[in-house]
Amino acid sequence: MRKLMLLAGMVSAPIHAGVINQVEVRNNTVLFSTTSIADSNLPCTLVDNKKLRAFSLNTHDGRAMYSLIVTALSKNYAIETVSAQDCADTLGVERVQTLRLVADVSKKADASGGIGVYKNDGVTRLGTYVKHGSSSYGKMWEYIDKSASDDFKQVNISFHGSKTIYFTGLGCTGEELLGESNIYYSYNHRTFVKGDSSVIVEAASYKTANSNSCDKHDARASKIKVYPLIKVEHPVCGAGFCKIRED
Amino acid sequence: MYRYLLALSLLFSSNALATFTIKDIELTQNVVVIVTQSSRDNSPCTSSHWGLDITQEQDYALYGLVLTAVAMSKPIMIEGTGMCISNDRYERVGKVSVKD
Repeated sequence: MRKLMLLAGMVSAPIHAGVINQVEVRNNTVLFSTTSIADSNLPCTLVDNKKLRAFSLNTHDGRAMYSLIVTALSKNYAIETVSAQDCADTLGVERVQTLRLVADVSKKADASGGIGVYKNDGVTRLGTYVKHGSSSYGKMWEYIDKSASDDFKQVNISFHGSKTIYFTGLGCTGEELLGESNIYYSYNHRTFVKGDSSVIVEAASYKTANSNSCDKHDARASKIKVYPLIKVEHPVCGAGFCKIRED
Repeated sequence: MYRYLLALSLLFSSNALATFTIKDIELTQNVVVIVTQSSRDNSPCTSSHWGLDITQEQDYALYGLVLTAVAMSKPIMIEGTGMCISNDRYERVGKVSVKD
């Protein structure tokens, strides 16, 4: 039996540390979420609560967990959770059995409060902030890291809306298509997208950059070769925009 | 001679005060596990990590002090009790002080 339990533990979903992005206390129960919590796959979880975890304040463990969460919040430290595999504390929310605070031991007590550029998880530091910029075409962050260089490191992100968007259907309907395989941020999809250059298709219609209406309702005669749009992670920032925060 | 032996035994006992930087804190089934950046080889238990039994009032108070040290990014001095908790895995903490 012990071996089975050990095996179950080994094949369970990997645990990732994430920064707390939501805490709520309701009816003696703490509900929280982190940037890295995966959707709960327990049958007892309600659809709206997939990203939430819960524990009761009526136990020693629960009160101590709450203190741990408040401490992690105060320092923006990451936490890891292990599921109890039930929803025993709150109807429809997965219960937490183990909570682990991951302290950033590189931080010094008397640090002057530098500013860092971080991946979208808010935990992985890319370097020390230099400047950032934003326009209707995209965003940019400049930083310095430990590798010697003759210039600042720069991350550039272009918006999907700043490019011509092609469609599989007439009148800008159907699936979106892209004319190139560079990575763009799509506000519609709330993630990064790119054209899948391994598949070539013909566009039926398109709208030009930053346009709110369909510019060419029927472009089939032009036989424009484009790529299907796929969701990807940004190679530097990750799942969303890079972030700036105090270290 | 007796005093000398007593002083020696105190010096080399596992519950001598030592300073640690906290790497992470794990909480499960009423036990807080304190993982420090530098490990030690004088634990009387099977793991070198420290433990707190939060069902005990003193341990709960020490837990508050440990969290304060984490929030202040300061190292702590820990004195062990020589007792093991959680199936003999962790030495129970007897005293904590936040170090400047």
